[in-house]
Amino acid sequence: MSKLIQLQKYILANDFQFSRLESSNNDDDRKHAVLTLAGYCAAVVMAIGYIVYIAFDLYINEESMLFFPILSSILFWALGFWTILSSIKKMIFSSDTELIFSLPIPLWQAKLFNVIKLMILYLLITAIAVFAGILLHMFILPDFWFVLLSSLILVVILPLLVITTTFIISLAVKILLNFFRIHSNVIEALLTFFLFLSPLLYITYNSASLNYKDIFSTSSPLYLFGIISNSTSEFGFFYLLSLLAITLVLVLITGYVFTKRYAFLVASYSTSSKRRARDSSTVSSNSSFKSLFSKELKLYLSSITYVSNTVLTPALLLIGSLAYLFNSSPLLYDTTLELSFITLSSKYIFILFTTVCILLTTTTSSSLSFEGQSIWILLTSPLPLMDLAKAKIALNMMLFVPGLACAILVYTQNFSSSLLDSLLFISFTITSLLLISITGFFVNLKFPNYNWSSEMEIIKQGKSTIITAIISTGLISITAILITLDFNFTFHLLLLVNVCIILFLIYKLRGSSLLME
Amino acid sequence: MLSINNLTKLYKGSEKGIRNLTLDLVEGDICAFIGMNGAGKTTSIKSIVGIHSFDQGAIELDGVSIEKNPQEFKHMVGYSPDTPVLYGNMTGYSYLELIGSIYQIDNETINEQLNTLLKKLNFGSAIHDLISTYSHGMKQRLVLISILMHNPKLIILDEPFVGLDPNATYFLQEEMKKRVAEGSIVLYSTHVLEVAEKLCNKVVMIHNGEVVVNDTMINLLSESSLGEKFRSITAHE
Repeated sequence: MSKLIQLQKYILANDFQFSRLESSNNDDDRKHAVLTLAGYCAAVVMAIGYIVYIAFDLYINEESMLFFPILSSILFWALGFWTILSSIKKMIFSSDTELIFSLPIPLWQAKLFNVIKLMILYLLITAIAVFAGILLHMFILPDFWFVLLSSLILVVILPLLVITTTFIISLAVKILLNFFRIHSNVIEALLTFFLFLSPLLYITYNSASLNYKDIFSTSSPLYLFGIISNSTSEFGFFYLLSLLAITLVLVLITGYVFTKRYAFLVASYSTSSKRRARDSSTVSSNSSFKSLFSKELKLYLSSITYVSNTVLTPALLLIGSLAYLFNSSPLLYDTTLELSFITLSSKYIFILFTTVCILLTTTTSSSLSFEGQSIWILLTSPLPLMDLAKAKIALNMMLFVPGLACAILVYTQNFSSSLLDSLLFISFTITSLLLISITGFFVNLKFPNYNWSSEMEIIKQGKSTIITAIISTGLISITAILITLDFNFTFHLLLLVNVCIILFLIYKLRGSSLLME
Repeated sequence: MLSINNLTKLYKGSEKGIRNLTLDLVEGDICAFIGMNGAGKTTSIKSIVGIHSFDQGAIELDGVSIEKNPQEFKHMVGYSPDTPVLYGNMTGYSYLELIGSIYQIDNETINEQLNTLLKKLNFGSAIHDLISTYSHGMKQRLVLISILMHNPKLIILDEPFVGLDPNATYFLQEEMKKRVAEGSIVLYSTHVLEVAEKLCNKVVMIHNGEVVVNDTMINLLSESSLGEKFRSITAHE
């Protein structure tokens, strides 16, 4: 066991770049490690800030008893969502799996190596979150020792519950899709998300208000098992222990299946190695755009992590627009947002919804980095950068085509918009989509990372993804404020600004080249 | 003619890289690029093929500069890296189609070249498999097919014999001789000095980022073998 702990220590230090900080002789390397660690620290501080805010909010409103259910709920959904985004595949094998299996450690430890690594990480996150939150409550809640013990049990239960639940859901989806011979990462990602989030969505849908306390306390794993934190009696503690026992049984069964059927899991989560039948034995050379786009599509669809992280907003736009189109809820057209200085009609809310969906994520912000070490193929090819940009931008545009088509239909048909108004909406949404796609590509061109070992390093945590996300947030905020202030005038203005920025970025791209430093 | 003049490329925050590489290769030349691990061979090669930017110097092929006209330059170059990382989710055929489209090779030429190359490199039906299922040697062979397919003027290979089976190694050596006889230039890095002695007419040795030998093979072999020369240069390491 000590070998396993030692190994985990070194690999976690490597993953979090501590080892780079200690051993690198290169200043740039050290700077990069310091910045990465600073980023992690900032994220932890922000998370602690939010938890302390919740604790304080509950304390002020004399609802401290809800703290455990709410915190456990937030942690469960957030970590679960993150686990699915990061890809369940990472639990089964990673780039260092072959090395781990070659080491003299028991086989079960090698098989569970990535799960244990994730468990340690989630255990740390949960411990920081729980203990930061209970500091305020520890001395207020009636039974100090019960609170302390409950906290410790919670720190153990939550990571185990998150890992087993997401794994079981992901595996069930995979088996189901394989049964129906459906091999689509898009369907798999959406179905996994939907199944995992369905209790939360159901509770939110049935909730009388959109108050976070109601939603999260009701959807807490503690509540689901019939345990609430305000039980200070033996009865409450018994339920908490029951939850621990149930979780441990679940973990043991899952762990047993995981180790016994490891080969099956590796095969299921690996890229399909089946031979692809081909009618013709001759190669046909297409236009370079067509070939690059086809390559781009294959590359995108090959990664469930990439798909999971970028397909949610296009799917949300499609589902939302369809809900508007078929008038699934009277609330959609009747709701107005009463702000202190302005009232937003459902039409404006729909415009904002469309804008947020379009601008929030883009595949282009990590599309160059995603090429990884195969980037040499593009670097040595006689390709103008614009050809490459077109293929990568086209992919992001394509993802939004169904949702955007529905949104345009809703806007023109259901909101009784004039021809000019409709044309403005169409132009604005298309230029916004083009703008964020080009921006993402441009930022990635400036901050590429081809030496990643995990897809998450570039898709969610990459410098270019973070910068593009900040730009997206800025663009959404500006659009929201301007549309709220004066819709007719600002819509024209925003359209003009979009076009100008797009032209500027195209000009800059024409003068840029794809080269490694 | 490949003309490299004072090529210097140093990595940021480090002294590693290559300094003042000057090299002229003409049609018919096969040049061996020799050096210890980390000497600067791959850095030089990556600069020549347009992967890396470089700090100073000039690289031209038939008067076309890689800096001023990278597309035209790259059209004339075929490159095989030391570790061929390819698109694993594509089949070998799809990859060759992609390369064919990028280099705008007409279908007739591709298929004519391809049938011969596939047979010679004994690829068989594996060309329809996903690249992720290929061994290192198979990836190496696929890259060789993709570069030979478009008849490049300059062929640059980074340790090309690593991972190749004896048949593929023999094919590559013969193909190098054939291509240079037809007017191409071959530049390749290697640690297999015995093969280089027989195959190459020029040799460049790099040590700690500096060019220490830049001569014809005949001249060099008149003094000592390639192995002896290499050992004498690197003896103090």
